[in-house]
Parts: sequence; structure tokens; C-alpha cells
Amino acid sequence: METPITLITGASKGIGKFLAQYYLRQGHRVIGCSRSDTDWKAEGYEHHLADVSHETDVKKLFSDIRRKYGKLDHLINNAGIASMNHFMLTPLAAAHKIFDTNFMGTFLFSREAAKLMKKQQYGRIVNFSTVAVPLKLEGEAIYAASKAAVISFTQVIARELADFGITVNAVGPAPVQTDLIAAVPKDKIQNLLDRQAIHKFAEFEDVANVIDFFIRKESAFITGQVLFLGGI
Amino acid sequence: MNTNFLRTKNTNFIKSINLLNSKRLSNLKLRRKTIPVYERIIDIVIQQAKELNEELANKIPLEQGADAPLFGKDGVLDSIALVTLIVAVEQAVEDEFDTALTIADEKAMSQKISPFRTVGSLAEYIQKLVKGEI
Repeated sequence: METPITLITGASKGIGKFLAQYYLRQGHRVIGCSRSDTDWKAEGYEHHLADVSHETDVKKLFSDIRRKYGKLDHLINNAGIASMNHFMLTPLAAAHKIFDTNFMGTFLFSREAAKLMKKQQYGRIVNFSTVAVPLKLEGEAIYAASKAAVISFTQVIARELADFGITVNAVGPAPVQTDLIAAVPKDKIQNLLDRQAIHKFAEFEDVANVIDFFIRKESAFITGQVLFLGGI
Repeated sequence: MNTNFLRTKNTNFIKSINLLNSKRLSNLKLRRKTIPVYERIIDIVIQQAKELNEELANKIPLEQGADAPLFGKDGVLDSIALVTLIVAVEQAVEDEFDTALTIADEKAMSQKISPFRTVGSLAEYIQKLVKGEI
């Protein structure tokens, strides 16, 4: 079997780092990227410094992948940032930053990945949304809006890419204990967990499990779907 | 029989062939660099259009050369075929000029006259992108 090529954004820490190491163990060739360098190395893994919302960085990364591997099987659009704030106290610059990373990054990577995947008439794109969208979480208006945009985007491009053998789906993790929620007050997180059917944090493995399902060859008939964790 | 001699000879032979090939390749690249940019781009567009034609029922009339219509009022491509051509041309131009570019950028979309009308108009637009004129 040919080695699958898997690209993961935001791979220097948190879920991205876990997923990179997880898919390496599954025998994938993993390409990761983030704005900062990683504190880890592994055989079969290559890291690129790139800002996901910077078109030139993204084009260069994909150009490198095309020249080196000539294909891409999986794209996992994991890179994301959050900012907990009442929307009336949210600076415009913060809103731009959140949308740039969470939405524009997903758009740019999906666009360039689709160009590569179209050639081989095969590809799996997995985007990241959040339970904050269906739970309409107070204090995360901009974050939730950017992730709601990811859902709409996922559903529309799933249709645009269906004829090319490319599926596009999204996972909506429940809170996972990472840097992303480190600054969120404990009672807010507890309120959120209480609204889930299963009142606990998600583990990295729970997220990987959903991605495994989406990227399986057998999931060719699954596209435009959003799967939320925790029972929303 | 001592086969080391043969192995060394064989390795040297392969090395010399590789050297010859890499010299040929760099000569080819040098020669290509002497061809005007527009000619190199139009070659790429026509080559990619030829490959696309193999999949199309309604083919691009490439016998018209630069005037061959692509997309729009007189064009033969639907939007999916245009996407396929643009992506293929973009990747081939990136390889040829060792650069990264996005053909379907906001400048292309906001042009009064679409650069995707004909083979020639597309090549002219890409030439400007490659030369950094727009």
C-alpha cells in the first residue's frame, strides 16, 4: 500500500501535535505546520513554518508538497485560536485575527489541497468546528461565528468537490484540555460540560476517532457532515 | 571472479549518465530561458488545454491558436472545465518559473474584460503575473 500523505495544520502543540504523532504511528507521512517551530521531531514527519492565513506561506507549502510527493491524501485543518470576551469589549483586531486563523486558514488550505487532490481524484478534508456553535456559547461570539463559518464552508465545498472524489467533513470537539481553553474561567467550562449529554472533557483520542472515520477510504459516501462530540 | 571491478565500472557508468542527463536538463532549462516568457506561457496553456480536450465532449478549438475561445460568451468551457484548466496551468507555470502564483486572484476577477476569454488572453494575464506587473 502506498504511504498516505497527511497534512495537519497547527501541529506544534495540543490536538495538532497529538494527531501528527498519531498518524505517524498509523504509517502516514505527516507534514505539519505552525507559526512557531516544534519541540519534537520524528521520522516520517516534516514541519513547515507557516501562518495559515498568509496566502504566500500556504502557496509555498503546497508547492513544496506537490514537488516532493506529487499528491496529498488527507488535510486536517486543525489550526485555530479562541478569545473569550463579551462581544461589546472585543477589539476589531481580535475579531480579524480569529477569523483569519479559523476561517481564512481553513479556506486557503482547503483550496490548495483540493487542487492537488483533484489531480488524483481522491482526497479527504477534515475541518474543525466546535460545540460552541450549537451551544451558542456566551462570551465566544466571534470564535463561534468563525467556527459556524467553517461549518457552512464545509457543507458548500463538499458539494463543489464531490465530483472530484474529495470528501469534506467537520468535527466539532467538546472542550479538550489544551491551551485554547486555558484562559476560560472554570465555571464557564463547567456550564458548557453540563449542557453536553456526556458531562466531561473530550480526549484527544475522541477527536482522532472521528477523523479516522472521515478519512477512511470506505467513507467515500460521507461528505458535508459535521460530527459534534459529547452529545449535543 | 572478482566482480568489484565490474561494479565500480557500472557505478561510474551510471554516474556519468546522470551527469550527462543533468547537463542536458540544465542546458534545456537555459535554452528555455532564452524563449520569451509569453511564448513559454502560451506553450503551457496550449499543452494543458490539449490534455483537457481529451476529457471534453465540446473541445477547445486549439487550431485557432491564441484566439481559441475558453470561457465566456464564445467559450466552450463550463465552470468545472475552466477550474480544471486553471489549476493545471497554474501548477505547470509554477514549475516552469519556479514561483508560486494564484491565477484566479481578485485582480483577475475584477478585470473589465475577463482574462479567461481565450488562450491568448489567459497567457497575457499570466505573463503579467509572472513579471509582477499586476
